[in-house]
Amino acid sequence: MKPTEPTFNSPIVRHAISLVIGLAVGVFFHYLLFRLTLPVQPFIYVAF
Amino acid sequence: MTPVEIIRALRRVALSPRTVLLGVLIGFGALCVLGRKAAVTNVQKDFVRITQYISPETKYYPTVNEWISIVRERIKPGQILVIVGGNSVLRGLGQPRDKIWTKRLQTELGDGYCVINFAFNSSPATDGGAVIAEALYKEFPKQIYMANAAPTQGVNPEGSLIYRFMFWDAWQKGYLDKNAANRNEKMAETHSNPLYQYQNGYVELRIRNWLDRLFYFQDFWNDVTTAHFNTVWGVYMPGPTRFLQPRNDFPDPEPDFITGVPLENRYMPATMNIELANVRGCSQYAFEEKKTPDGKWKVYEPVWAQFQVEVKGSFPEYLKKRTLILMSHSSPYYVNKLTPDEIERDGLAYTLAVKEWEKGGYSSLEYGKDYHPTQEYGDRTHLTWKGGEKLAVTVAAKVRSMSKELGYLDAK
Repeated sequence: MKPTEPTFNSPIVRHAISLVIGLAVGVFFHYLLFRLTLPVQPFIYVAF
Repeated sequence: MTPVEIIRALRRVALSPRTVLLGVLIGFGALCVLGRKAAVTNVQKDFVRITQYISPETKYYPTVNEWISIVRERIKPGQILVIVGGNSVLRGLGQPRDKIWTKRLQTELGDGYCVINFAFNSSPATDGGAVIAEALYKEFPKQIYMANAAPTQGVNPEGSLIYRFMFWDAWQKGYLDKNAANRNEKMAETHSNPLYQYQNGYVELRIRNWLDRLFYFQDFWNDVTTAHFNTVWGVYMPGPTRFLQPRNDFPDPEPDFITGVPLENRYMPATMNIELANVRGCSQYAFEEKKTPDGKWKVYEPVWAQFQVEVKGSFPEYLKKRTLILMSHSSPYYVNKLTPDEIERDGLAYTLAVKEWEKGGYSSLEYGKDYHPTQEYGDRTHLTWKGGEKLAVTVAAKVRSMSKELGYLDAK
């Protein structure tokens, strides 16, 4: 007998997966703000 | 169930848009809250000085809150706060961590003072350390801020292009005095230049500061990158893969000039002419091009007039008296190779610069003229730890006398 593929049709599982994906997007967006706003000017060391 | 089967099943899940949005808000909001917590937590427990791993040299941009947390954790009740700013000379380039001059300064001053070294490489007097000192002025009014400078070197109140991110971070978060008329006047003059407004990422910097004040992403991710795992590669990071390690893992890489750097690398014959030009540059614009007929160096007035304009607006008026500007002489190794007239001019330039800073309302002193060229100087401008010890003794005496003058030592 062929094994059935898992399904995530239960509302609780569906919402849990949605929440986890949302959390990941939120964290990524926060990190994106940090990275995209870092100054890009290179550091040139000058002793004087 | 194989991972492929799980992924296939997930692709068939009908996600709930509202729950996804809720997740985004919770995830983003949680990091904002954690960012605020990170802002008041010191993650650099063994802080001695700014290394390349916690500076813009490796694309690390410390926040004003990070440094404030270091001070708050370090200072004890009743201590006079001594913050060291300035450039690589005061950062202790060429002095190993355990022999850095500010440790000696702390020993010289004793328990009544708390010395913290916030000097950055290539930084003028108004950068990082100056910002933190001002930010903490109300909390720790008994404070002395010091930085170093070369003669005729004026300073922009916002700091240099590389490090002004700290000034604007503090400004945006309300740590700096926005009513300091003398500084506001100087800033208005600088900003009247459209080139300044639109070059070198100024607009982007202000947008970043505005966003960071709301979302605290800089504090949070700096905390992660310092204590957990680094996410930003920088050109001076150690190796292509090790950069992922938390920045706190990397030891202070500063070598010892005396035992770790051969003399021929400290004073390279190939750069002799360049260094001599640098040494001459410290004094040649301070005076007229040639001596007067009676054999004296005449001050070049336009340079010093402009210098006074700059120092007038560099710091708020009430912070000038507690600000000590150290005039760092060039190593006698090079100075003694100048002509006798140039040597005379060089010495006069430093003495004059001290007077000009004092005229502007600051404290100032010069050092290094009588230091040993190779034992106490590591190269043209930086000191070895032996030179640092000598500097610490001189500066400690000055700090004590300033503390007395400023009334810090008066009994309550």
